[in-house]
Amino acid sequence: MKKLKYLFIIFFLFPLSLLAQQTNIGGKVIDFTDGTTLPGVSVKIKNTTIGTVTDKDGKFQISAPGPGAYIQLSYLGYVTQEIQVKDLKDGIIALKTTNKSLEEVVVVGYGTQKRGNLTSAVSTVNNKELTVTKNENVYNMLTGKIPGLVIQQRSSEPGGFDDKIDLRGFGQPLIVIDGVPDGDLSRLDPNEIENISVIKDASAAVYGVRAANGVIIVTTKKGGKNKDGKFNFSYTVNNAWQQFLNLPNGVDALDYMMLKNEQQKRDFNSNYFTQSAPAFSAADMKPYQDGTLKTSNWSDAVFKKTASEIQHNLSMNGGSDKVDYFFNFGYQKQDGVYKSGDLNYDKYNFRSNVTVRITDRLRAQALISGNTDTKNQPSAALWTIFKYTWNQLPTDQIYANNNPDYLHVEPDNANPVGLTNSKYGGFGVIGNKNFQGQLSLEYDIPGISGLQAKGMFNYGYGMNDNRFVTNSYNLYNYDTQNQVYIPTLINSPSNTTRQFLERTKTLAQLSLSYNKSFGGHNISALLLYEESDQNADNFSGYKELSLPVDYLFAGNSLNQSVGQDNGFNNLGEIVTKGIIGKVNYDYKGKYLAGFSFRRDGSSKFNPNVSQWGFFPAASVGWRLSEESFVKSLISPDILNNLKLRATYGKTGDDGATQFQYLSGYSYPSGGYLFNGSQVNGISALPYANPNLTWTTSKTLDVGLDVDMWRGLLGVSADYYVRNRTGLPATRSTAIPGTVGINLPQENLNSDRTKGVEFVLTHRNRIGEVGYNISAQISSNRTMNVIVQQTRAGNSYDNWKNSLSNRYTNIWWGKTYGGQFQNYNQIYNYKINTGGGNNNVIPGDYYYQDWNGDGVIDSKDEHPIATKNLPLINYGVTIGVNYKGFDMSMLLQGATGVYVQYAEQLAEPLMYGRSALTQFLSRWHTADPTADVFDPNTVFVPGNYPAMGSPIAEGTKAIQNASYLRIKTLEFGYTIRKNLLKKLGIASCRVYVNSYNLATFTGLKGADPEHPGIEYNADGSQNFDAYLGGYKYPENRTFNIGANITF
Amino acid sequence: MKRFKYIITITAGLILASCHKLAVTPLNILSDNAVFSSATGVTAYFANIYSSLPIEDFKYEQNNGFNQDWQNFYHPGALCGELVGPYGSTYDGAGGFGYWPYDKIRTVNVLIETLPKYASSFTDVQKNQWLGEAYFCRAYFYFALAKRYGGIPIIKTVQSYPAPINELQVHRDKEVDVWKFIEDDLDKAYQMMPETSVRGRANRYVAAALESRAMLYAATIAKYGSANFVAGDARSAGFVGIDASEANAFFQKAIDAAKLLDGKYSLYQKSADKVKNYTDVFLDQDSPENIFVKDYSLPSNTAHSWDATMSPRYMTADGLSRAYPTMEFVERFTSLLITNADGTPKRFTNTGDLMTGLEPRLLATVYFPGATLRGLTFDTQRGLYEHFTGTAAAELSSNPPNQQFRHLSGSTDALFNGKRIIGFTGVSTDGDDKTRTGFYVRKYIDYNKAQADCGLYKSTTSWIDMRYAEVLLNRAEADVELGNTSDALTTINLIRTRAGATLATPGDITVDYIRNERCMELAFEKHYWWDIRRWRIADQILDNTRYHALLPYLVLDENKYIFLRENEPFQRSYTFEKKYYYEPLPGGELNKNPNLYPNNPNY
Repeated sequence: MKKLKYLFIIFFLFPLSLLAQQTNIGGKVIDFTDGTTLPGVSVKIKNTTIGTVTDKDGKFQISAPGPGAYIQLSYLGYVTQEIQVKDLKDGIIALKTTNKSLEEVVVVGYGTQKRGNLTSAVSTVNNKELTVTKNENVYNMLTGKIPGLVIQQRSSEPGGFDDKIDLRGFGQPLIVIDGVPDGDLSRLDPNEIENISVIKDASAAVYGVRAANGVIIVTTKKGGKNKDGKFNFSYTVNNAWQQFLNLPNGVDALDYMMLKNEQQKRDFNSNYFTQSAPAFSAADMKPYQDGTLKTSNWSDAVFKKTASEIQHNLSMNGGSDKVDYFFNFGYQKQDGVYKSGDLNYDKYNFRSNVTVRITDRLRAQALISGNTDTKNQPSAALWTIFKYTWNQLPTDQIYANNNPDYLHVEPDNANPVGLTNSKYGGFGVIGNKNFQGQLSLEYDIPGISGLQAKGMFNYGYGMNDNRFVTNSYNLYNYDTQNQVYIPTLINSPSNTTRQFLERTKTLAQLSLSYNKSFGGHNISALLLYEESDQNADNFSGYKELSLPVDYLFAGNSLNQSVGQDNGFNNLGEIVTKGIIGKVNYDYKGKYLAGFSFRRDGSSKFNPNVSQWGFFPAASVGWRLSEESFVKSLISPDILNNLKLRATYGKTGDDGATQFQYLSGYSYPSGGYLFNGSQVNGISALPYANPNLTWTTSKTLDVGLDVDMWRGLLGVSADYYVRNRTGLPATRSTAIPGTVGINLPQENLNSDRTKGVEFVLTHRNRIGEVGYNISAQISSNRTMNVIVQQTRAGNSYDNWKNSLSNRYTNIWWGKTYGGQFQNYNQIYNYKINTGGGNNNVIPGDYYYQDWNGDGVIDSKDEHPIATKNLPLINYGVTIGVNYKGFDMSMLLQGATGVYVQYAEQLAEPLMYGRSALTQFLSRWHTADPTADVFDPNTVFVPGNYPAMGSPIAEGTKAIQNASYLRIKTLEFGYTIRKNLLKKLGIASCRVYVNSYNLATFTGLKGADPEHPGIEYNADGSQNFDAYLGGYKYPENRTFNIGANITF
Repeated sequence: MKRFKYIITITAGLILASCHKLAVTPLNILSDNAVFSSATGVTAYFANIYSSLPIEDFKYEQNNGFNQDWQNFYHPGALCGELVGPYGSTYDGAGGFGYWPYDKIRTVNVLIETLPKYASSFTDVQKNQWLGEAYFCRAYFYFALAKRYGGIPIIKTVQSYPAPINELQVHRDKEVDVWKFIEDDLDKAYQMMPETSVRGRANRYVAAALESRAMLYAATIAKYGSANFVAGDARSAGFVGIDASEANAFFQKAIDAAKLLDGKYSLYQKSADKVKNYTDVFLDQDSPENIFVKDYSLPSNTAHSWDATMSPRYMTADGLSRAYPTMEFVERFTSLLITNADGTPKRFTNTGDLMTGLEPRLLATVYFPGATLRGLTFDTQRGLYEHFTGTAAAELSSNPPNQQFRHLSGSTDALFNGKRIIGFTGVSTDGDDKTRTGFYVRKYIDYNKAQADCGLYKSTTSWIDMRYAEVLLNRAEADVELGNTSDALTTINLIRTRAGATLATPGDITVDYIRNERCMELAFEKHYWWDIRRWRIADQILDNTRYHALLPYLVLDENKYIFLRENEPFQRSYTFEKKYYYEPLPGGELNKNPNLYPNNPNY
């Protein structure tokens, strides 16, 4: 602080003229942090009535009584500053915002609170902080910005929105957009977002149903009176080029044949009795050696190097005494990695938010928004394209006889060129439409000041409309001997499927709130009734096509079918009701306390027994910095804020499958053909459990906030524990299969999650260079406390497979020992590697005999790593501004991340297909015809074992995927206003930006966020989650854009 | 103020309009009454039971169970030398898949106990028919359990739950009692059901046919299992194994049950062309030979992939093949004349010439090199010899004289002197998605189907679970075991006449002859695996056994084809351990119910 004062003195040298009386002085007021000019700042001469406000350029002129007079500058949200006239000469005065910002209003459950008075763990991101990251998915724009919120981007598939979101290890939080739960944050237009609050502790309990994992509250822009009283129109454009990260390549034809022959030689069974013929003979290789045939480079044929992406946005924002208005219209288009261009996505967003002040006491708000998007893709599932492009044989031609009119036959009919091109195999058009309309009325009840009534009604409509067309087309073989093409018609007959799903949801709220301050006591209270009703319905139709008209109407009736998904989530009704109460109290902003409760009912449970749950929460806070004894120890100018806070509460989750309290029969359930036609079946439901009810969580959060030197240092730390009980599970221990019933779920299991979060912020300004740094780090771990398990047959298995009282993310495996270097080493190896060491050859991996029993088997597995989400996540945000220039950088990373890749990334020649180039570095015999099992054979070493040898496991297969990314790097320039005035432009900012610019990791051959093998809770592999590692890749983008306000 | 009232009224209206009850009734849950009080409800209930009947159809895999995916080449015959194919070892199938259908048995028991409560809604005839059907289905489940595990708990009533755990931890029943329980249920089913039923459902003769099969299993297990067994606690307790003295009664029961079908069904003889006739036995929907069939359709998503996965991709539109008839199987019919008297390979102008004079049933069961399907020829060719001298035996010895002039290939793109080295239908050195043995399965392949329609999940050919020929073979086998040779001879010749084979003479009628006839007639119908087990001969015929192929080569300088009888090129060997005669009880069930111990011997 002192330093700064000196700087000011040096800057604004003491001019003699100031000694004269009644001088006219002037200056310019800017924001300390980002250097923007501040219009409307009140400028007063202390102890006089002389005053003015800064103009729209932040400038002011004022006549001061003398050089000794003090000028007082005050502005809402900024620290009031005094400066002596003699210290000022046409100088710049930088105002500091009130501490980040104790006066800032933060959106919390059903209301707002001043940051200084918060007792719960809430993190916020405002629009500017959000949109500095450029991405098509709002979640990805939040990555690394909120401690405890882990967002793993699993692919950059256009329209895929494939993120894994986890708050504090609890799981996916509830999304509440403008008071409406279960919103789709992915598809929201980031330009519509005013701010995002993440409630991470028990204070989420006011959101009741499914708030057990915390809540992300999104508030959209509402418009408001601009400083200059005009309506603002602004236009934003962002143009991006995408690159795709880590797309591997397959080997060429001759290498493939060589690897394949090596694998054949390595097969003990087919070479022991008599040596089998090599898979490929000299005659097979000859055409590639003499150039008659060329290697098929499938990656080049299928994938682009770069793809485009564009976003346009137009918004209008303004207000008058009666009406505030915000309108936004957005468009986005993203192209995919396919060379055909047939994979792409576009989306339209609109929002119209109007606030009307009907009378002094009555206000109405109408929020209307919607989005509609379309994803176009060729018929084949995306992940299969990566699988086939990597594993399709380089010896299989792309086109028969190299003639582009004749697509070549491939195994599974999967010629990736055909699969990625809609004109061959057909296409899918996947459409979503989502509309929300909300009307609320707010009324200040006369007679009791601070008492307010509010009613809100929201109607939401979501629709999913998909159309799939499968076309039949010819694939060809070429008979080189007779020089003829041999066609086969595949995918016959052509057909089309149409799927339709709609959901409607109404939400009604009625509330009374009360705010009162007296004698340092501040009370706010809320009582709210809420009711929601969700309805879903769907159907799909299938027809085979006789003519090339690919709509249902043109199909024939031969095998037509109409279906309906009768799952509870897609057909039927869910009703919830809740009563919410909330009281916050503080005394002089020093002693803080809060209490809330929610009584919730869900139609998923038995109406007579278990439908209702009660979820209370309480919080306390103590701002030590307001205590006079603290103030006397440390000056309030140094210690601006020191707060201890704690929350404890209970939240509920109705995630258990609905209607398990009912016994009876499910219909239709399977079926059988009687007399040649399908008869739908009826099957018994699992045994009913009338008592199934809410899963409850009890969460404790303890936190500390410190702010010092008005922004130079901010620290925030949190520790939390969540105990969850009553997780639905099927009792597996007791009942023999011969009884023949499926047991229902019961509230049996429990777990515990613990974690810490830590945030450091620093803001400063050196001359005209302002900068800020914010760093956050978090870590958590979840432990199963009780898990229902069948008792294993022996005590070892019981111990090994036990899940209770263990961390959920223990990765078991063997510890890698090394590679056998020669037959001598193998012969002298005293440990049985599993098969008696008969079929072990140089280059094969061996593992440590962890339990020392002389045999390597599954009993040598022990905890070697953690799986699922990273152990530690962190992010660092850096912002710098100088005059019109600004720079922002977001570093995001994680440690304690382990991945194991599967399929093609782990195993060459899998399923008899090709191999990736990395596997060329492998052990093989120096003489390709040598007997692999002859101890005198000379081997050439490599990174991988010989073809056909067992693939890596344990610590050899599991890689450390800790990483640090430059998630965002942006350079911007705001063009000075007077240059633009003539064009009618109020302001214009241009920028260049990159997303995922660089990644620093020890992981080889893959992106650290790209999913490797994933597991279910019971330890089995969850193929659907990771799709064999064939998920669409992550991308890096380079963006150029502008933001123009008129 | 007026305005407020107006607005408040609107608000209240909105709230009221949205007033919903928390008690929501789901749309797809039915009550007992809705199920059992109408014929359509009971029919739907039966649809569920039938869909889970353990019918070992196209989609059954010995190692994974019922209703598996498109890979119909995971055929139990490929575990034991009828075919060679995709399995890694014999144990792949012998270990089973933990079949334990007590949930389905409960479903049947619920019907048996609940239907009488709704008796007033139906006529006695109708009620009896359904109860008979229920007994048939229950017997079918127990038959599938007994042939895998031997004795298992017999649950004939609906156990109530919650109940004390010790009441639910039932003990195993003796194997012989399980077979007698099956007999009893099928007798009831026979008595209660009418003579006819709609396609796909059981009638009294379906029950009788199943009884002839089940009783023959019980009889042979009693007879041969008493001589060839693995000792153990389960055996001493009678949980596996049947006393040999029980055998004859079971054989007689098999004959009695088979005779009930006399005159009710007949062998398919619609076509004068014997090859076409036998081929059509498996394709003609209206065959008088069919007793019990399972149908498939595209709209119900039940279609199978037999056409796409038993023939080469060259003749289909998708998929691949991986299971091929062995030379040993073909030689059950006759030995093939591929060598001259001097030991040199016989020269053929076309590979198809080999088929001349072979038994029509063989040609209708197996596609030979040179046969045609959908206008395409099986151009099967292992490779080329530039020239070939000497005998076949010399070429198959450890020092083959012509091998340096032999060319093999992994690709149909490879030429030698302008000639393709291998055929589009095989035999390739790379992979086994073209034949490894020179043969392809023909049974159940729909030759009328257009190639473009032979995709995965596109075949709707019905699976014939029971056909009259099997009942005749059951009867003939039981006959010969009981010494009724003349009845056996008559019965077998009905089948051989239809097959276009030379007729058997009284001197032919031995146990081995009847068994060989059964293996030929019922080839690839998923009987062979169970037959060699119940005959207790699997451990003898599968003892590090490798199978043989018939491999055609083109001799270039002569422009003629020769055939060599070689080891099948993947040299897979098959071994059946004696303990495999019974599968181990599912481990998870043993953990839940210790009273199921002892497990079967050597597990």
